[in-house]
Amino acid sequence: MEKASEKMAKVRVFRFDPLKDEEPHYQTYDVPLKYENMTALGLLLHIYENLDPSLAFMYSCCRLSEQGRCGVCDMFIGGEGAQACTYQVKEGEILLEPPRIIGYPVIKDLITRQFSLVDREKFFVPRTNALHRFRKTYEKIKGRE
Amino acid sequence: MSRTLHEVADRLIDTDVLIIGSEGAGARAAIEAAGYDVRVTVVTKGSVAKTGATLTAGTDIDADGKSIHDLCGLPADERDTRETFFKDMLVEGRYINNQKIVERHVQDAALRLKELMDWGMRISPKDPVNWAPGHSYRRGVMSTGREVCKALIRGLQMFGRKIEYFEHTMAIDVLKNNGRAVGAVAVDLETGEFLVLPAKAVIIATGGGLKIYGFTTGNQELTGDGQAIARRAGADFIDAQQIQFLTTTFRHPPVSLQSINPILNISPWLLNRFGERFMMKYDPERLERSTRDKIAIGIMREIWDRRGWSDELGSYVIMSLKHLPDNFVDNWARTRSYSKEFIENLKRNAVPAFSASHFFCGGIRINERCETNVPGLYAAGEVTGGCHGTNRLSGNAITQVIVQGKWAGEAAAEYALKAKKPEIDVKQVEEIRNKVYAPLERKEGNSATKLKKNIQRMAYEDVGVVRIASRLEGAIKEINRMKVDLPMVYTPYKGKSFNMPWIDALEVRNMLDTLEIIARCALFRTESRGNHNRVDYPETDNRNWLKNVIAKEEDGEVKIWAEPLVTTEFGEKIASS
Amino acid sequence: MKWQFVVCDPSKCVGCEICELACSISKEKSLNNLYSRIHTVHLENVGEPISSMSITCHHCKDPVCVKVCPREALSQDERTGVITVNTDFEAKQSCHVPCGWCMASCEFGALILNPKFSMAAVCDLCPDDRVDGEPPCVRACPKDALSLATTDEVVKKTESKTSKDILEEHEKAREDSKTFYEKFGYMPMPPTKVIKKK
Repeated sequence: MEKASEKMAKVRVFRFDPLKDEEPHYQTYDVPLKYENMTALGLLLHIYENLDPSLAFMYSCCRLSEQGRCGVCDMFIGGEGAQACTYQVKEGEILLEPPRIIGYPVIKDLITRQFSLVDREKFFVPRTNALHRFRKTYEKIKGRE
Repeated sequence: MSRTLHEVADRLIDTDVLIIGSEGAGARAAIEAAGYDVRVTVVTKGSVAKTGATLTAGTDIDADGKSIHDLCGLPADERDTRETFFKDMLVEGRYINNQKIVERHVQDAALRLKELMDWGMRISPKDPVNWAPGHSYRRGVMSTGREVCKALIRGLQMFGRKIEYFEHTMAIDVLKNNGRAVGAVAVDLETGEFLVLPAKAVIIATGGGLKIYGFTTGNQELTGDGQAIARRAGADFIDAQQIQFLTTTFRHPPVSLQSINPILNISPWLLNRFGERFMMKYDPERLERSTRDKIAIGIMREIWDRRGWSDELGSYVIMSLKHLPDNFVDNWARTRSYSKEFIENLKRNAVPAFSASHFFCGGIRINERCETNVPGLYAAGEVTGGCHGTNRLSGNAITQVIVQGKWAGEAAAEYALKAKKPEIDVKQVEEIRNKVYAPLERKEGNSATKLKKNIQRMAYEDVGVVRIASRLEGAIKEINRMKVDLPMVYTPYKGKSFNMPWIDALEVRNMLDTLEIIARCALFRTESRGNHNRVDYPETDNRNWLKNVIAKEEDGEVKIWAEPLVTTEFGEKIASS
Repeated sequence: MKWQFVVCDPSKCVGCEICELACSISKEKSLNNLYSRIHTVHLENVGEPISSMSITCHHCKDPVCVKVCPREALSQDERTGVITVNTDFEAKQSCHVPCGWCMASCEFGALILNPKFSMAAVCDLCPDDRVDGEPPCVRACPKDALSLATTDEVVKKTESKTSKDILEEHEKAREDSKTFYEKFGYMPMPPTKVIKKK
């Protein structure tokens, strides 16, 4: 197994504790890329075990044999949706955030409330979005008159 | 000065049927129980139907061929009957299965499969019914774990708000009063609150304890919570030492594994730390073309003798394909659909090889109605034992989960309809509460995360794919020493919301309890049978050991004894032939 | 050559929702609005109807849904701009036990969650169900409010000024690639002090 020479990654992580903080903030860690093919999940585990045990994140199947991934480690990496166990990390900067989408409130750090798979209300999300957009557009236009 | 229940609990949730675990067996039990006139509550460590091994199973579902053809309309062999399926399960389980459970299992398998298909599970269009090794006929209906979970969710959606869900809630213990299970206590991981859930019936469906081992093909949540809870509640265990392992390698360290069973087919070289092909010692004729268990034994022996690589990830040996020409490997890889970078890595470098835990064949003892020996306590799914005996047929895991989920839901609901209101012993709750919050309050001590890693390493080396008496005894001593150290565990971070070190501390307690039972049962069974390999007793002893090993906790000590098998007439006919 | 999509003229739309039924019949053979890829939205002011419009996928230039999917299951066809959801049985990059991120991030509400398969679905302009080049929703509209065209063409045809403005705003949104919350100023993480749930 190859160990890459000491390359470093600068990991900027979104931090928020609802029981303590009013506002979220970002924290930066320097993580060595110890292995070739290191993933974002590997970075998070390194931070948790060695640098900061207060970091909270969820992971489950760890991309087991490329098959049947669980979807538990979904988050925004570099501003786009990705999975932590799949995302290959290169040297340099990387930004880890929970999904910045309406309807997914952050519970802690990188963990959000996923939408309940059993609730039927989620089927109406597109309609609510569409109505909201229409209303805003209409108000903007009427505001110009 | 005794406090009332309302003072000790942050939240009190009254219910009739409480289900711990929400994927696989838990979801199926919830669907079944909600059909009765009882309140159903599901408590799960992560999100509903996203926390457990069912979702990531790349799976086939077994049922007998005739029923697949008749009930589900899929192309299967009609000559395959329930009796043949029963026989295959007994043969694979080396005859120590609980035959009453197996009988009911083969009866119900196709019916539960049909239900899943009605709820929208898609079948693989390329290869709908698959023939896996160990079966006499084509029996595995190919689908994916994702489809199974979606079908179960649709089943749960039918009941809407009738079922109450508590996500991100870790169950700690089952409460008992007068020998009966009267509910459970749990911790809400989001807020750190302590929940008390009085219930008339409790179903444990938390899956196997795969993460107790350092390398595992299972999910991270599976730390043997259900087994530990059942042990502390006084339930019996049956053949807990039977654990299925799979030879694997790393894909993206430090996470992510890949099974190398198919790669073993083209005989890679297995090397130890000195570059020797160590299989010469264990199977000089066939070397790496030997059987899977001999290879597993070889790998483990090298690791025991400190001839393997050892680093922070664990101990392993090396596998290399360098001796094969490039185009040979490329041709073979095309038939297997591996990704390019994996194959390039295999050709260029040596990759680690080790045995990862894959499935728990033994566990909580149940009868054919999913009842344990504690009234009011039920168990279903991989957390139970006796269905598969010593080894599991491929594809039987999902079948076990849906079939047993239904039995447990049905039995628990029927019990809850007739049972009296549960009475909780407040002192018991208070004791548990103090234990749970102790790591948060302690100012210094041992790190739970490090302890967890030590347990995983020890389990992998000493209670792993091959065992020997001296190592098992050593492991038991080490477990007892860790248990003494357990009260010194503390968390460096004191927040209450998703405190990962605190979750580790709670899990470590369960891992130790479960591992002790596994190690003691492994020590007790002095023979090798199926996936239980004892180097000091390498033969299968059918004269003395056609029995089940039963374990139970009494007054803090684990008592082990052997009991005769549970047989049916049909089973005895097969076993004698 | 601009991408065409199903555009609705708000001055002609009466809010009958027949387009929704037509879509669900054509795609899922059932009379259930939840399966429809086109939504009719009704603007009201204290119970008084102001305006209605049917909205479906606008084939944005740099679509947010494609960026947001954690498994890269969404992709956009370069020729037509149509978004496809990968629903393969076992592919790595296929829609999973749904996370719903694409659905929540699309401000037009174009992506729906198909209740039968629990996967995302979106308007694909019905290439197999065209009569005279018109998809079923356009055919079904009793007021000819819907047309398969680009916004410019519809803006030229409509006579109402409000409609012109609304359609032009939508066109601007298509070209822009900021997400819903960035445009309308929502913070998606209200510090939900989850102390006492329910």
